[in-house]
Amino acid sequence: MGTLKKLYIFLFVIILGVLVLPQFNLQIGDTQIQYPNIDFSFVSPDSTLGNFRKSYGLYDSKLYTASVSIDTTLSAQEQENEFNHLIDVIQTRIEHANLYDVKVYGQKQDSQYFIKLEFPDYYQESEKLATHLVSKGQISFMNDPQITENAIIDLSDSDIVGPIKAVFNDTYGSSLEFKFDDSKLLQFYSALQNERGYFLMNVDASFFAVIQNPNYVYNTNLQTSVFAVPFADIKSSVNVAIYNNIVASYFLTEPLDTQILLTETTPLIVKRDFVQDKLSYIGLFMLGSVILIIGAYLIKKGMNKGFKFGLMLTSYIVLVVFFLKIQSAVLSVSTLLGFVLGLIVAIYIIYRLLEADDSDYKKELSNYTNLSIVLGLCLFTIFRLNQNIEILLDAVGVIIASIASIFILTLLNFRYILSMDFNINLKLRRK
Amino acid sequence: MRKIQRFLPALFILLVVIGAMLIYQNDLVKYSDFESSIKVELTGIADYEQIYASLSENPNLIEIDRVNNVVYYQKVGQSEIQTEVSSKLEEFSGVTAVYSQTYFSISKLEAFSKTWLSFVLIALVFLGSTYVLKTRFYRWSLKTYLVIYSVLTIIFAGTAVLLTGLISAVSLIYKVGYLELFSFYFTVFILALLVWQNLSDKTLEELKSDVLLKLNNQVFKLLQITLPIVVLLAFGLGPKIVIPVVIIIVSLVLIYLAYYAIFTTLQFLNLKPNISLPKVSLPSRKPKLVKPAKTKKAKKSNKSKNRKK
Repeated sequence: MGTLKKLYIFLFVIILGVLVLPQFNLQIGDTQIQYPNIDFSFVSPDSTLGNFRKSYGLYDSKLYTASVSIDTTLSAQEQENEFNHLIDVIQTRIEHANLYDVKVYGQKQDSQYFIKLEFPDYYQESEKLATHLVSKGQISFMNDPQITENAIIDLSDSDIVGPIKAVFNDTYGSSLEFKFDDSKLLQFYSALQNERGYFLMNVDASFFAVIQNPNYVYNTNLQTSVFAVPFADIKSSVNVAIYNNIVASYFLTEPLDTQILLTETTPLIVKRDFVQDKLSYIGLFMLGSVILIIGAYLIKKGMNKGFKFGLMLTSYIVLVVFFLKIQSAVLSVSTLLGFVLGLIVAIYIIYRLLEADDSDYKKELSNYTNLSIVLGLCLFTIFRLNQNIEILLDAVGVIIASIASIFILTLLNFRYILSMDFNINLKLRRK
Repeated sequence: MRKIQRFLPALFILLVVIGAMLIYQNDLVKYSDFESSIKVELTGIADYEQIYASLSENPNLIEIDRVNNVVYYQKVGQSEIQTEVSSKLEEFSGVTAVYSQTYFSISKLEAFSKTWLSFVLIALVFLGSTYVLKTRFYRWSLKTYLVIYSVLTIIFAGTAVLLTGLISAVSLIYKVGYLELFSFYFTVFILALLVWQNLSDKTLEELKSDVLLKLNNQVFKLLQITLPIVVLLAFGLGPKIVIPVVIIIVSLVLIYLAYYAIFTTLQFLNLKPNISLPKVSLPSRKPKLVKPAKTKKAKKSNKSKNRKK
């Protein structure tokens, strides 16, 4: 049993240690090997187990500027109020579209107003997203001009009831799902009276095909429920799901009357006061500090405890990094802060466990297991109920990963490691 | 030491009052990431360190971005800053400044309310879990639970005012942002909730010695662990990243001291019965052995034995 436990501990560290290595390519002859080449998309759509995605504080970000044409006949205070209102609307759109790491702020320069949108480096086609965020958000329903059988469409966005959800459907792909008020049943069927059985939803310059929810045959409540499927120009974009979320947010905010135009379409690279190659630098720095701490403990407490300390800490680090990578976490100052906090707490717990007597450590272990359940529950509550805490979500996410790791490790790995004997000197004496 | 202890309750109340005054005076925090600020972008070739030294004379300067040569001011009008900066830049030829005002999407009030909301949610989950724990495992009645946790909530509110006052004082010299707020409240709340969770059958005196013991055994050991990481982090990634970690350490020590002061205050106000828990007396299986009382005869015989010896 002891051998099995040892095997489990070492395999745990080695396998996870290999999995959390950064992405690299190897060329052997004509064959190119890409590491890691494991598909974990069933866990999270963006999960790659490769490198972390680059985010604020440690990497350059993209800054977009949009000029705002505020009515000049208004007084200075009224102009400022109008400007603050615009920023609020865009902020609400960002929150509803789950773009929690996109920053928005306003700037007034020589009586000209600008809205600045800052995106982390990892966003693809961020310019398009910036354009959608500052768009007017005007929604209307109309016939497809290509269809000859034109019916009168008497529907507007105010006829929609209930939530507007961005969903993924096997047949239609990423689309929006919403429901018209039942009192508009006749108008709805009238709009669908054409050979193709759909009508159009016009959102600023984009179009969606509105079709009846196919599930209405099973549930009469869904008779006026629809899927709004984006046209090819949006559907082919990598950000189709995000775009649908932004459109869903248009329903929740009033249309912007003020003209906002993206003036600087070229991304501005924001300079940071850190070294250029940050990823390997941070990785090496973290590794160096952990080795230093393990070394210091080993010198102070001897071989047996030192080895246990090293093994426990390594198990913790590989498990947390594995959790982070599988959830496709971003690497930002906030993430780093969460990781350092988690690391300090983990070192403290390991230190306390190793200091406890042989009879006490099991009690301590179950204490930490129980505490991690309660703390994990608390943080998960924040994570789910208060998602608009902006960049703090990174830190909270890392701390949740740390607590989950401590829970698993106190249940299994730490228990096994503490029951083992790694004292080489003692064994030599016995011989 | 006893004299210091006697002054602790008064000192605690004084600090809470000072904290409240600072919060009122600074309108929560003075300089923050969540309020409109004046941005001055400098261009041209010059000795920028000299320029920064000259501009730093204004107390409303809140941040210098040395990489992008930008200086930020808060709580001051743009025209006032424009006049002051342009007069100072006359000494440095070839340097021009572009002035703009920055508006943030999240107001100071929103930032604080969001942070507080998060932790109120934590507190609610924690209260629920402690209620189950105490009533099921420690057999507390609902009344006992309510009395103890109400006292603790009041204590906690006092500590929160004191520590928010500290953040308010920090904001006079350092701009407070999201990460700083998070670090601060994270430590304060998590530690407070851990004290709530671990509360057991102890008197105020025992609770006080427990706090001192924890301060000595846990916090200082934690400091020993944290210090190398903080120093390495400061050298490796720059001092900015260390500030939240330093705030956590300071808050950690302060909250323990605050708890000590609070328990002393309660002791001083003679509120002891409110916090000590009723002990569950279990029926003893073995009858107590009672020594027979010594009679006069027995005493005399003992004395005579001793004399013979």
